[in-house]
Amino acid sequence: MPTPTYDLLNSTVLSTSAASITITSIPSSYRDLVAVVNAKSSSTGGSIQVRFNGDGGSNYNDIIVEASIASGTNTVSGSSRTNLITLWGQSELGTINSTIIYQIQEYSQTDKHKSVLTRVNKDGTVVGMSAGRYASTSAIDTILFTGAFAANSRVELYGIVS
Amino acid sequence: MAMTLHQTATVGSGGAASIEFTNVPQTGKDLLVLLSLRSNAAFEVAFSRIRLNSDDGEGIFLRGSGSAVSSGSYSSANLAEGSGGEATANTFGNSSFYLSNYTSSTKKSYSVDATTENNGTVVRTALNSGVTYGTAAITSVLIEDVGDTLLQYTTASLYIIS
Repeated sequence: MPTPTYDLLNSTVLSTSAASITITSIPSSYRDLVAVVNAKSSSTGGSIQVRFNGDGGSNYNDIIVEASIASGTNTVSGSSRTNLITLWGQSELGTINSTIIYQIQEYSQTDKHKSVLTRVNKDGTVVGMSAGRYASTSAIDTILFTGAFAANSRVELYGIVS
Repeated sequence: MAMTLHQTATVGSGGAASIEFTNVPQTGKDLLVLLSLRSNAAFEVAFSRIRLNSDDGEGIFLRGSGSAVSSGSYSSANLAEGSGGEATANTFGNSSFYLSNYTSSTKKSYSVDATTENNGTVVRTALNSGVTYGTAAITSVLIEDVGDTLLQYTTASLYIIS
C-alpha cells in the first residue's frame, strides 16, 4: 500500500488561551493542504470559523450536514459569508478536546476557486461535515482560525505532495 | 515524510476474533487506521468497533442508508462499518479512523468515516465522532466485531502522522 506523503508545514500549540490562530507564509509548492485542529473552548461565544488570505469579503460559501445529541440532524447552506463556518447548531467548541480536519484542495492554483472539505468531531457530542468554496483565484498563503481557543489547543498544517 | 505506515495486518484463513496493534510508537501527533472489514455476523452489515487502550469511548453517529438519515449517541464504541456474513461474497466494508493528539494526557477525540454496500440491497454510510473515557496516551488499538469473527482478508493498516 503506497503511503501518501504529508509534510508538516506548521505546528502551533497555544501556551495561553487565544481568540485566533494564524498560519502565514504557506508555501505554494504542494497540491493540497490538510489542517488538523485539536482544541477546546476557553469560554462561550467563540464560534469557530476560517478565513483565507486575510480576506474578509463576502467570498465564502458552504453547506453543512451535522448531527448533535442535543438537537438531532441538521443541514444548512449559506453563500456570500465573510468566513467559512465550521459548526452550525452549536458553533462553539466544547470543554473536551475536539478534532476538526480541513482539506483544502489545490490551494495554490490561480485559475479556480478553492474547495474545502471539513470533518468535525465536537467532543463526541456533535458530528458533521461540510463542503465550502472560497470564491477567489488567489493562491492561499494564510489561514486564520477564529474561536475561543483554550491553552494547549493546537493546529497542525500538512502539505500534500503532488 | 510525516505520514508513515506503521503496520498492516490481514486476517488469514479461519478468521480471527480481532486485530490488535500494540506498543504504538509515541513519536507521532495523530493516528490513522484504514479498515477493510468483513465478519461472519448474521447480517449484511457488521457492527465492528475500535477500542483504544481497551477503552470503548462514547460519541455520536450520523448515518445514511440511501433512503433515510439517522443519528444517535453511543456509549460503547460501535464505530466502524463492515460487511456481515450475509453480504454478497467478496464484499468488504471500509472505514477510516482518525485520532488526533494521541499521546496527550487528555481525553482523545476521534472521527470515523465508514461505508458498506451490498449489491444494492443494503447501503450504509456513517460519520462517527467520539471521545475516549480515559486520558492516558494511546498505546494499543484493537479492532473487533463483538461476538463474531473477522473473516479472511479483513485488513487493517495503522499510520502514524508526525
